[in-house]
Amino acid sequence: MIGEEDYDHLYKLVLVGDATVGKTHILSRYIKGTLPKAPTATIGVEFATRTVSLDAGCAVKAQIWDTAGQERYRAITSAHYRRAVGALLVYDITKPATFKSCQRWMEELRSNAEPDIVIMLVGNKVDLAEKNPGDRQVDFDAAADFASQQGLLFEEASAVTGANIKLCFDKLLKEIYNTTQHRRDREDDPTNNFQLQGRSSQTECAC
Amino acid sequence: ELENSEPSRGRSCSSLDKFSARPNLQRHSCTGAFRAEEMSICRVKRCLSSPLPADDQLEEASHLLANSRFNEAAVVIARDVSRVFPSNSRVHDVRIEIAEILRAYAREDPDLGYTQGMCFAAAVVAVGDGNLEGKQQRFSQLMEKLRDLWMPGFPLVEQGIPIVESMLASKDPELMHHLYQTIKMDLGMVIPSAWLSVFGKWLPLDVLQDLVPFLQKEGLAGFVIVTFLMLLAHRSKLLVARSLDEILPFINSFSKEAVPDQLLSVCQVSVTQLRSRSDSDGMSWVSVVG
Repeated sequence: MIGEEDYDHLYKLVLVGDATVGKTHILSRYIKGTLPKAPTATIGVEFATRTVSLDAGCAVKAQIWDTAGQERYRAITSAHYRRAVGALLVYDITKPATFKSCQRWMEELRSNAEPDIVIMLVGNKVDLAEKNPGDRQVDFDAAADFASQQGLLFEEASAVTGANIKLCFDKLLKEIYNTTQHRRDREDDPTNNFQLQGRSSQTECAC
Repeated sequence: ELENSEPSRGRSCSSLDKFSARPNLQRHSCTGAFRAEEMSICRVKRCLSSPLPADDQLEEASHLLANSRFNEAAVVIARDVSRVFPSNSRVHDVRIEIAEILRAYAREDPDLGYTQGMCFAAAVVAVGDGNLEGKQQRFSQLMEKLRDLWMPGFPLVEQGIPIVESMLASKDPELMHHLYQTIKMDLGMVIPSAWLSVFGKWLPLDVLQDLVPFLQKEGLAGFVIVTFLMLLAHRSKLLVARSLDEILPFINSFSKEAVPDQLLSVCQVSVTQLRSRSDSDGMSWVSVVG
């Protein structure tokens, strides 16, 4: 991790998914390296940041909004999707209903966040299936197929063991960087200036 | 199919009222009870397959839907009760009662059922004196005044945020400017968490035991005043924060800060004062607290 104020790009991310899939645990594992000491249900939204360096040589600050999962909270949480360029869409691999909800979460994200938001589908609680294979209720392949069809990144992870948590964020941030860099390149291309006039960058650059 | 059906012409009011209170099935998602829910939906569809279902079919459909909603609430209640005030031993001793209180209320008020955050209010009631029946009654009385906090769309929160903004802009323009202009924070980022936990995210349980009856008595005005005074109590630290990164974690961890002196007494006096005078710019919060 690098200095919190020493970054080139600021990316707003949102953590979404049904209640109790482990969004807050994932965030705590990523930010603090531990699980929450006194975990309570997220009411409304909570917020954390982490600055990391990417392979491309630049530093990005992830501003992460953790949201309440209960459906009726969308009235509050969806307002916070605005200007989000990335999302972790989390389901619980032991609860198929949480996977089934991903379609609706995705639509919600695509209609409220930035139009080309990068979404990482995360199957959490893989530790439970490792302990007891019978607990797995969502096949890896089914989720991978869904992600592929919908153009999502995909990983399985465990906030409890920490498996793949950093990888999920790293892949997401790298993909956001590539997407925004590609757009910046196009915007910088004088042959595209005419069409792209007036478009603003989705990320806030601090360089 | 359900959304487009035309079940009600010429049927009794009671059946129709129950039917019209149905949840949006297509948006309904519930872990755990999912398979049971799908079966219920099939049964409801069968009940309503006729263009003009009979009263008993409508009754059955209504009953099935109410059960489905209760099942959804019961699943979320079970998960939340184990997480409310997780390290508090007094709460730990009454977790079963908290669950009973919330389940009973979800049956009593199916339109609300259970919204996450209500477990904080139930915990405050459950650690009080009396038997389970008495606590259930007290919780129902509390909800008579506060249910709009947690109803779909969160009407009390939606109504309250502009009032707090208006009050802060009038009474402490420096803090308001700092939050909204310098830091680009808005109170919608922090008030839902505070209010929907009846300030359980900001204050310790022993303070809430005195504060919740005040909130029950004063309703929206009470929430506005407590929020305003909490912001004022911490204003020096709020004013030195330079970014969202600093200020949001600080506000969300108010519970780790010292409780403002005489918070309840000051809240009571402030509500009384607000009721006794109107503000020079005629702001809407005066009419709300009045």
